[in-house]
Amino acid sequence: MKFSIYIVFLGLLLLACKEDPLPEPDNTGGKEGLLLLNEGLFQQNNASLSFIDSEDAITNDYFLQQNERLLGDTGNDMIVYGGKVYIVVHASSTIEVLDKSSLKSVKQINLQHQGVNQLPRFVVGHGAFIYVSTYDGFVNKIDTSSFTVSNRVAVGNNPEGLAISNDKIFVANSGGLNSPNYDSTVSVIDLATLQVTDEIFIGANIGELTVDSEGDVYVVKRGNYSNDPSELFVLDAQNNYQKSNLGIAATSLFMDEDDKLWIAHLNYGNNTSNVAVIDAASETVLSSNFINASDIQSLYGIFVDEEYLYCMDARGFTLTGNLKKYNKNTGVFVEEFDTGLNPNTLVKIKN
Amino acid sequence: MKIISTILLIFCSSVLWSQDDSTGVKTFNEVQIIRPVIPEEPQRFTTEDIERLQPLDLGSMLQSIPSVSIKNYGDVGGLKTLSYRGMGAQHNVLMVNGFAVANAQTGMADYSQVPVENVSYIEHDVFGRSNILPTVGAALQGNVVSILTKGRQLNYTKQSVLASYGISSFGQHDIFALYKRKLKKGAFGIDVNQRFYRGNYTYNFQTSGIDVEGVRENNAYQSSFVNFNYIRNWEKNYVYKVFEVFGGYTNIANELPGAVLLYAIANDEELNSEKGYVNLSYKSYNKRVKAWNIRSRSYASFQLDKNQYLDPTYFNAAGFLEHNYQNFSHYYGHYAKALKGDRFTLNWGGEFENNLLNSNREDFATPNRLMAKGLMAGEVKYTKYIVKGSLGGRYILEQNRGNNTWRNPIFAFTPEVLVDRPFLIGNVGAFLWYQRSFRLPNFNELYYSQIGNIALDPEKVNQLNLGVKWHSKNSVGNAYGQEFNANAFGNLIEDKILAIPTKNLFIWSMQNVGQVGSIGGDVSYVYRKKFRNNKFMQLNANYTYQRVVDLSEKGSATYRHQIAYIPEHSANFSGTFEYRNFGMTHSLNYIGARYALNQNIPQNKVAAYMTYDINLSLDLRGNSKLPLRVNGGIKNVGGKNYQYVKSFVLQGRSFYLKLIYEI
Repeated sequence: MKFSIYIVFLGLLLLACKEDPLPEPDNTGGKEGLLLLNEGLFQQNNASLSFIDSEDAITNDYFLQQNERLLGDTGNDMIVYGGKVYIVVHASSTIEVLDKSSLKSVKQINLQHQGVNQLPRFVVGHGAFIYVSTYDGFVNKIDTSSFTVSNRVAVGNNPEGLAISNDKIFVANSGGLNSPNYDSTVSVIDLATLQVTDEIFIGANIGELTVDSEGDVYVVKRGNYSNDPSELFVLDAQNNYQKSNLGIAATSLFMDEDDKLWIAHLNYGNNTSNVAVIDAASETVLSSNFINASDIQSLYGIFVDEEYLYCMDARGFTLTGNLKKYNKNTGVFVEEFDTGLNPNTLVKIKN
Repeated sequence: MKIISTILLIFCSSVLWSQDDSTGVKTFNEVQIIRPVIPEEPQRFTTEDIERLQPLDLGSMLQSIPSVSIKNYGDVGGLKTLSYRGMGAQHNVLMVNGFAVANAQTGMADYSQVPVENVSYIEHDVFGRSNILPTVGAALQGNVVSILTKGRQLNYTKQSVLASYGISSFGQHDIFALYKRKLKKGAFGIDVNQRFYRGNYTYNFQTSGIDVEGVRENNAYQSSFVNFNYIRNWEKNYVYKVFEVFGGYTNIANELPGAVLLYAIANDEELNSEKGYVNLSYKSYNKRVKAWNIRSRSYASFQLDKNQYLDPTYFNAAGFLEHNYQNFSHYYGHYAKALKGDRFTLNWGGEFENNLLNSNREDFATPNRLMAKGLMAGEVKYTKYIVKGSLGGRYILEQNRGNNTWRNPIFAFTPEVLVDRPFLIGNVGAFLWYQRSFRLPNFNELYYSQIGNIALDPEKVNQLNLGVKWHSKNSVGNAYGQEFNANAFGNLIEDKILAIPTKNLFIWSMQNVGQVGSIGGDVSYVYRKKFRNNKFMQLNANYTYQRVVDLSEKGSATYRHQIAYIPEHSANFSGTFEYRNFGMTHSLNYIGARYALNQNIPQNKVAAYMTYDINLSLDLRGNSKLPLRVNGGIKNVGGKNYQYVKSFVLQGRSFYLKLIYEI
């Protein structure tokens, strides 16, 4: 009797273990659509891609399906450049290179220097190279043929956003890991010499950058999240990059093809979101409150194509995200998609 | 009536404060009597239980208790915290030799940092039924994990020596030595323990259906423990008195392997800690007093913790991160118990505690917490019922010495009621228990740079439990026979303290968020049998179901979803077979699927796992002149790397061998 008890318990416990099946791969390569980067959560290895095809059907876990492996930990930025898509995976310290046509990975670039993870943040393309900011205080020049780092340029502390204007790279030095003693400067690197030629003082904790058709550089100053507020600055390319404050709060930016600057702002104090629009040429505010954003919980990224405005909602950062689509001209809500965790960057795939 | 008297007699003996180094085991060789059913008894492990299971540390031992979840971030030296029925790690307290271990900075115990070589007895007491008299603070907190050390056991031989050496896979070595000496009026003991662990191990686990392989590095661990105790007991004018002093020093150098991050190379953070403590206790018992037998205990404790966190490759301006913290806690209390016959018991006590934190960080506060605690409790045995009620209160003042600001004072009560029916039907006893308790926000939650929130309220919890216990008629003491326990529970946590990202993904802050509710039950079964010819068998099995859900906001994406890292199902089984000087124990630990986040979707699911260990022992004391025992075995026989916490992959199969010398 005693031994039968033992065997029954053993059997019950062994039966209790069961694995979930692998998802089936979906071959949607070559299709046109939108590719969304979901950041995931730190230490959870759950950065992911979502693909929205031309018929507005969304496929989550798209990188996993295309490549039968995971993207990594904390996806931070993504660009389409040339025939490739470059994805910056921060905590995994990798740049994932996808073929734009098949959206399959063709290379994973590991960013380690002297055995230490460099922790990449943002990427921008120029000529035959991409430039990647890394938290170790460098901008890395990477050849798009060999996928190797050819140069490293020292900048300020914990660089974030990058923008290219008039053969110069502008680098946002956040100093986020020195909080509360943030960095406050934008470093300017001459692309020909790869030397830092200037440092422009902006204010505490600089984040994203973008550039308009005239070469003006827009700079998000995030402040210290309490008594030093978020502000948006512009560096005037026609006037030796003189700084001026546009008097508007911002957390992320998108410059569309019509030179309209779309500004997303998440107010951390009252947890409200807002989208504003500026005409970049005249630097006038076209709308300070373009959409009804009351349904957006945590506006984490913004993207605009020919017809639509897309708002990425991180929904408190611990829930699966949401992508909301609005009419670009009227701001009227069109539809929404459930995404992966913490969507932050959207790109258009055209083949 | 005869039976009732016998029951009450034994029951009273089990609650005598002076039995506080007992295991609750009473062996009666001459008279076979039925021991009382005490359904709310603590979960207990004796020295023999510990030797049979050979756990890695205290945390590994506690995981076999029903309704307990050990959140395990690593193996040797990896953080292990205890959650009971979905309550956080700060709702329980660790007590060593009757003294609560204090750390106001984290507010919780790390059960991986308690080696079991020196432990003679472990219990988990939720319903206030321990034989070990707690400090007032521990009694108010409830949910007490209590251990007694071997060095502290009264020594009835002139002197004794216990020494052991263990070697295990992954470069683990454990060395332990204990010396005890009986004195004219008391005893003295000293023990030392050294543990080394190289620790790097290969892993192969699945996440999102994908096989991931690698080496988990940065695991090295080294610890040194030295403890001493002195006990003096004497009698004067019919007053029996005991004075005890315990002290010790611990030094731990711990690499932090961190989570397994895909494609990234190893972490290089370290945590170094030192701890020193001195505990004093004075007990007295007036033997002459007949109407009310009053036993009292006065105590004082001084504990200093130093922790250094190092990240040699942190990308700040200095190029590295070094945070130093120094916690100093001291408390003083008095606890008394008065018994009138076998029907009435009164308890009362008071305690003052002070916690101070200093650090080298400019952006961290220097808090000073002052707490006054009081407790009154009474117990009446009336006809077939035992009714116990208690009311505790705490008054807390807290100052940030850096800017001389004070938080609003906190004044909160902890009521508790227990109704016990020892013999409801035959050998079945039942009880109903309610307690409302709370835990304070710790210093990290209040003051940590950017994360801290000084406006946090205490987290409150209401607990209700209905339990039954049956044991076979041939049960004598706890030695042999069968026991079956079942509990149904419902808890409600209010003002749950959680870290919420409020600034961006990297900057979270602590918030009081809504409610967490839990319902569930656990069942456990024990069978012990001693056969002729020195054969012994013991079977233990338990199963827990706990549904612990977010009740904060109706309509939210996590409403009624299971709280992260609480398995709905868990079970344990162990079987011991001993014949003459040979013993064999099999143990299984099953942890059901959990979620890494509060949203219960497949992407957040962390797979169930089961570990199976085999432990063997050979006692050579009878067959040779060497007083030697040999233990050996295999941990995680299946060899599958598993993870309790997502991305914190634990080691696979390991082997160990241990020699124990005891005279």
